[in-house]
Amino acid sequence: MCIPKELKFLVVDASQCMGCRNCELACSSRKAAQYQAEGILGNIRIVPNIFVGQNGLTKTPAYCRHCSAAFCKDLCPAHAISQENGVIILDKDKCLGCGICEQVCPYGVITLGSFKIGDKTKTIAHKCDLCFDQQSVGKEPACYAACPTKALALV
Amino acid sequence: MNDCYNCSDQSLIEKAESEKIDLVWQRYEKMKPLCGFGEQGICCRICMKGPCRINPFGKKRSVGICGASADTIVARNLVRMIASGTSAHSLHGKEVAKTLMHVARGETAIYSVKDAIKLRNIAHKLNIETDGNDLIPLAGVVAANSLMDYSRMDEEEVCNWLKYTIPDARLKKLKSLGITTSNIDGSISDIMARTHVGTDADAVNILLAGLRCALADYSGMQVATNLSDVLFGTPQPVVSQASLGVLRKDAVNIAIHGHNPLLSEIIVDVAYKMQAEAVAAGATYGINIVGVCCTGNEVLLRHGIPLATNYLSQELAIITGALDAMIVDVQCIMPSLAKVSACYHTELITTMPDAKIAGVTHIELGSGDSLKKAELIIRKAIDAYKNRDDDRLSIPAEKNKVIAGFSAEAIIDLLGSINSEDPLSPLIENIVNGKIRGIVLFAGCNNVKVKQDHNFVAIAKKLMAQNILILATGCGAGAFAKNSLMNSEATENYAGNTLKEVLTFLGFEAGLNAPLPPVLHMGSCVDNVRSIDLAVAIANRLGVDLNQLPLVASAPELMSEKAIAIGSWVVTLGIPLHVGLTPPVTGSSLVTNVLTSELKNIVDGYFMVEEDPEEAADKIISIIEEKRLGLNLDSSLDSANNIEVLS
Repeated sequence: MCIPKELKFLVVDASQCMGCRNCELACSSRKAAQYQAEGILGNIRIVPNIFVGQNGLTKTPAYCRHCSAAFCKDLCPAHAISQENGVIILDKDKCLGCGICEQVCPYGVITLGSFKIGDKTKTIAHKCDLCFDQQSVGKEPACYAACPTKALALV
Repeated sequence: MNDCYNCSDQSLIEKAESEKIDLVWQRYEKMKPLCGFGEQGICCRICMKGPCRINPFGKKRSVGICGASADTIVARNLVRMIASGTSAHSLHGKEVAKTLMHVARGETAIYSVKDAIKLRNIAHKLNIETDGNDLIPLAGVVAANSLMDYSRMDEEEVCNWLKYTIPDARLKKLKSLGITTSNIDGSISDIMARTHVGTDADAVNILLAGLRCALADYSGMQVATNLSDVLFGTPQPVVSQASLGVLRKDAVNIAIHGHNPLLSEIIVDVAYKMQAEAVAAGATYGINIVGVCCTGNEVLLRHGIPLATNYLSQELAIITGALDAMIVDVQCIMPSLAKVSACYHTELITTMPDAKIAGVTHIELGSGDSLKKAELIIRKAIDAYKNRDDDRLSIPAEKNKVIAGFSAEAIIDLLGSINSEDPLSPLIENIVNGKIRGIVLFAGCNNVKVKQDHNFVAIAKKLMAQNILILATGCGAGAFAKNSLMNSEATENYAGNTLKEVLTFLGFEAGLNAPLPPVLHMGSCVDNVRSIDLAVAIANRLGVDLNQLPLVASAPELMSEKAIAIGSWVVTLGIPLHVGLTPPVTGSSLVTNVLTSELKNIVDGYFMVEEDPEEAADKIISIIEEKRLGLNLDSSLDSANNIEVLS
């Protein structure tokens, strides 16, 4: 991976989250575009890396915090998860799809997805990469760009 | 926390969970988070440049792509809700009026004039010459005068069902504001036209048009209720039962659900004639018709047919495993019934051309062969009964006694047994002497956002303990019927001493040999006008306007666009309205302020939002006392400084 140094991270102000789920939709759309490029669109369930929840009147998104001491990275048996310039990043090629990262994530924002290659089924983890490819060319992460109230902010 | 206040309903939710059948409560949880833009009314989908949403937290006042402000967007969305609610009620009214016209023209053998006295009273009310008019031609004139309210071209005129049914002072006020309506359908198309992109952008002007449309809703409801009484009889007090325990193991159970009595009346008539077929199929009791939602209220009031359940728990009737058929007409039919009924032997049958559900058997009623089709429907229910799985049967034991059927006429007749010269005087005297502090009308739906029926029951119990008489319609009435607040025992258990005294006296005078219930069931949601008829009679007798009466309305669990329309005309007629959930208007402080405050200066009525039932009851009591003070009646409010001294 080649994670730029100046990458911005996400923070949320729950009081400004309207629960519209535009962030989920934007994240899913970006994934759909990636899956299309990889030739697996239609062969894999699209699950966003950000989830808006509601408790009482409070609505707020759950998203990867890129923990400085990340359980997912530390416990990955395949060493598929690493930390580069503060970003916790998953190497899909190394991922075995064992699901340990999904289990240990304190925010519940790592999911597993399966797709067919020939007659075999491959399962891999999915997690937020802060849209580093976008950020490295001066664009905003999809969820942040889509947030109409900017309850999501970049720091 | 339980989803339902009623324990029988709750037990069936648990049964559905164990059978892995999703109900409205699970679908609600899965739907969360609900989009805040919609909740606040600041999502605009009116044109294809958008959809637009206004950032309520933005530092600058943001606007839609066309430049529409949050105020414009919220007002447009709200009045479109009013227009939809008005369409639903007034189409119902139009169907009934057209049926009366068919009767007058001799074009139907199915329907007839069942209440000639009511027809003549209506003619008198609508200023129609009755002398020398035979009944059937008179029916034609009444129908024509009603249908005229849907088609009048002269905009200076006022709908018959508006101008002849409200106090003169109120009519004058509405005229001066320019919000009377001459044409029900015209008022609806006015809303759709002015909310089209690039038309009316003045939020206050839009809201005033919304009030006019709400008055069209009121007019259409008057048509629906009154002409239904002509065709099917005006409700009189009747004793029956309510809650899901009314389903029977030994019967072919058929639920009729929806709103339109034109259809349910046919089903009821035909079912009575087909009892033998049901018995032959093994159901020793025969056919057991039960009601759901407002069709349930219609047939409860006119035939004493037991009420199984109200809106939110409609799916639970199927979960009992005892329901052999559910026959639905229009409005408030959850499309989910298709999936839930597919999990059981229950036949779900739609009957209206404008209310079908994909994959569901559709047998259309309303044309010449309706009787044959009704027979076919009943036969399907009997066939389904044969497939009932007794292992999945779970009929709750609870069923509560209900005394229903309190149309305005029934209440006035009942009071007339005490004073035939001046029937209203016993009620008015008891309001004046303070034994009855005031009257509260409970109306409106259930909403999955609150524990079903809880707001109704909690507020009503507190009010009746404070000697406030309660009227109820729609799913509010369903809530009270199910939860045993519409019988004499409820008066004994919950009414304040002086209210109990009055209800006991009236009950014995009326020959019931028991107190009247503390909550009087006035009918379906379209029958809310019955309570207005009673209030207008009292106001006219006292020579005051509706806003001066110690009268408050409450829709503590509102949900539908119809409820928004009703609420809007209630306040336009001058009556304060409590709502237990916040309508989608908070995205505009202007609109919110108009509805909750400024309206009081314009039409006297206003919306009072209070989600906590205990607080709501206190606020309602306080408004009643304020109104008493205004009429120089004894009030717990200190007249010198207006400080509340009550509790």
